[in-house]
Amino acid sequence: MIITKHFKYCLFKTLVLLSITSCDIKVKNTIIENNNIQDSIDYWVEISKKENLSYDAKIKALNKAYNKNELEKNDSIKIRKLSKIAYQMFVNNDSLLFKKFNEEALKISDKLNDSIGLANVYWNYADYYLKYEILDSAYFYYSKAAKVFSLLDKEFPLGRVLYNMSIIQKDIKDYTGSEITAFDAISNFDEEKHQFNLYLCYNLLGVVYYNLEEYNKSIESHNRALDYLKMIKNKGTLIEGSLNNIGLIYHRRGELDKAIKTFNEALSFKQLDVIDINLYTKLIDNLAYSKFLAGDTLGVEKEFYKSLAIRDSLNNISGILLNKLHLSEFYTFKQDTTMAITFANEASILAKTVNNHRDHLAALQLLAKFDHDNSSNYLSEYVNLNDSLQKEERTVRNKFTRIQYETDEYMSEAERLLLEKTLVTIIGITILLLTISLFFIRLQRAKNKRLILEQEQQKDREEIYRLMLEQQSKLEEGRLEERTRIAEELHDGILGSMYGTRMGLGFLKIHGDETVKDKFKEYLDEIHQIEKEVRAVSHALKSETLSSCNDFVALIKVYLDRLNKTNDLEIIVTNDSNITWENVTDEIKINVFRIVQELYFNTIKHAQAKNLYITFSLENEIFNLVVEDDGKGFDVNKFKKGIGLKNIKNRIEKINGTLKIQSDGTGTKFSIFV
Amino acid sequence: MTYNTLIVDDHPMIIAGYKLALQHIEEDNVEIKFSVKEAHDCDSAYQKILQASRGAKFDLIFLDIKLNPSKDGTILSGEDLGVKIRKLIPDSRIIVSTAYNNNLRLSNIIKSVDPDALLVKNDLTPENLIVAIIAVLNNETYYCNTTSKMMRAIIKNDFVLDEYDRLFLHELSKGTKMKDMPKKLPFSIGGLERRKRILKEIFNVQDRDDSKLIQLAREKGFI
Repeated sequence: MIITKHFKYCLFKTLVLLSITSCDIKVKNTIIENNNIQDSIDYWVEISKKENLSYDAKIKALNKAYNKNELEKNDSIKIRKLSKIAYQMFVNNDSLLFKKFNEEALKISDKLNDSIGLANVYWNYADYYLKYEILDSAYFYYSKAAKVFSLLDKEFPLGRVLYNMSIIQKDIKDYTGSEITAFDAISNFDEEKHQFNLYLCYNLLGVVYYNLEEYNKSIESHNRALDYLKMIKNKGTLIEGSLNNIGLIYHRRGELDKAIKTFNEALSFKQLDVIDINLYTKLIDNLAYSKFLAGDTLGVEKEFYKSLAIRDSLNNISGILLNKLHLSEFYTFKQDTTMAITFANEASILAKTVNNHRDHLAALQLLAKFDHDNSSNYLSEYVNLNDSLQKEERTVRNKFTRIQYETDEYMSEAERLLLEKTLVTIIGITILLLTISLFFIRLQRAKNKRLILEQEQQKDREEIYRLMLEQQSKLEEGRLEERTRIAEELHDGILGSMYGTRMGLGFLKIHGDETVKDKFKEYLDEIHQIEKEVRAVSHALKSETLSSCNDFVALIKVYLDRLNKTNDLEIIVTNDSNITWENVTDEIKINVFRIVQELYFNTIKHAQAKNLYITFSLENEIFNLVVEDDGKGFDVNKFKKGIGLKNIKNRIEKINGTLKIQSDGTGTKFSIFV
Repeated sequence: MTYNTLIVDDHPMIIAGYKLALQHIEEDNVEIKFSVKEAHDCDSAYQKILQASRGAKFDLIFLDIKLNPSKDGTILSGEDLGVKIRKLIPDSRIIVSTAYNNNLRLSNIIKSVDPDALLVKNDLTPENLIVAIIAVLNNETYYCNTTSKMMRAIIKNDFVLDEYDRLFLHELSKGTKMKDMPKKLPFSIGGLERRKRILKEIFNVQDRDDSKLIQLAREKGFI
């Protein structure tokens, strides 16, 4: 049990180291993205990165960069720069200004709806919280950033963020979750380009499997990590770190020989004690511990003290703790109980002061084992601490589950909103389509209605014409009747009386001289003459009927005369006696009538004419209507589309006729052939 | 000698005129006497003729054409009455005097009644009335001026129109529309149109209009 705790601690430290390294890599990437030296903002940012500068100078440089940037317009470039400056603030440990700048970047991103800017801001926050080990907040911001990147299909940054999330999950001992997230991260990296990141992920996986006690998988992962490491130029002490981890796994599996071999392999790296003294002491410590467990106690004590001395000088508290615990164990083995208790006690106190619970627990366990007097006290303390730790762990996990849950909920909410949006869009489109089709249907209906109304109007017009004709013929009939009556009255009544009277007078015996008789005879002849005249009148009245049989022309004449009462226009209607109007259909008649009417109105309104000639004639079986005036004329082309002319054309088309228009300054002539 | 005389006319003045004429003749010729009866409408005239056909027959009958029709509608005019007289009293002499001067009517009267004298009131004077009466009494036929002219015109024509042609022309001249023609004549419109075309050919009329045809027909004495 004790051993396990110790190793875990070692691994944990390694990983913190790795996670910080990853942050450095990120900075480098950002620089490559926007490496424009002419840009003074970038220039000041670059200055702030120079290592030989004092803290104040760096902050000053960053503030200058910020002020320059502030002058820029609110756009996505400004957000990028702002978040870069904020990140540098974070690197330089100025959390106040970091928070301020990041907040600002967040606001602008929100305003501009710039998702990438937003994601960068989240990433900055997450790194910040991770640095101060506020893991839940860090995880929260990483997941937010991951969401944005995954939406935008930004694989590389997504992989980086996922990797950091995986680390946090491992830290709260959610190993399964960590494993899944790590694989997620790996899937976002490119074998060719991102070997270092892949190395980090596999290293992490190795640690996770170690904690899950799946040692084979763990070794496999570490080996893969080493494979990727081989492709990287600037390896540093990473290989030795990995070897340390692999050695710890062998140690854990009890394959102590292999562990010792691996540790030795790592220690064979020259100048390791110069380059990475921490790792060097760690290796020495671990090697000594493995050797001691393997029963090889020779020189182990010296090695333990050596690493303890170096760690002491470095003030590496976690290392000192581990060393002291190892020494305590070692003295237990040597049955030097006082020494063992001393070291355990020291470790216990030190762990308590730095809040290193795991090592505290291990120390307590050791104390309980050897210090028989206070054994129960130590045990109860151990149990209490363990319980409280477990409780804490549980609450932390709950918190993360909640974040995860909230994220999921957020995702499902987003999905729901998307669905809703789609639904609204579909409904909107449907309603729009419905409205449009309704509109068109109504339009069509209105059109149909108008057509029907027009047809009805046409019918009504024809009816009116028919009635006019009927009235005309009735009038004619009445007139005829009356004429006949008068004629007959004249003929039978008056003529008879006159005839009788004349006869009577003729047979009168006139007594008188010759002049009187002559005069009498003269008057008698005069009466006879009057009689003849009356007869002639009577006959004329009857035969007049013949000439008035052209109802249609008479109708036009009567109609135009009635309209024309108030105008100066002289209307001359000429009718060819060859036209048998009786045989002409009513349709042609009504259209001819309307055309004449329209042309008459045109003449009245526009032509300022004195005479209007309307001529009906028949040439070669073609009916010919000519309407001619002597007015001022009009431009035929200009008025081609006038409603009146259009109507005339429509009418002519209806009766299969043709139209010819001639117009100049001296008059207008419409010729219509049917 | 006394002539049993019947004057049929609806006009008292005309009857008086005839009487004066007869009186004039009586005064000039002592041996001639007239026993005059008068009728004013078809019914009374027909009654008198019926009576006469059984007893004292009329020797001389003045007949007006334009008369009020009989109440039973069998006798419509003096023309019908004339036909009856010719049947009932074949020996009587009939002087038809009429105000009609259209040729169709006159020729119809000649055909149906065959009067001994046909007088058109228009050109009748007291003098030629007396001449006409005396001619009839002497068993001669007298046609007045108008009638004679008409007969000459018809005889001069080198074509003959049948009764229907003349009726058709008459109807046309009255202004009867073609569509109403079949009600008045026993032909279809098509048949009548054909008839009209032939008539126009006969009269050498090119016009579509009928007025020329009617005018010519009237000139030639057909109507």
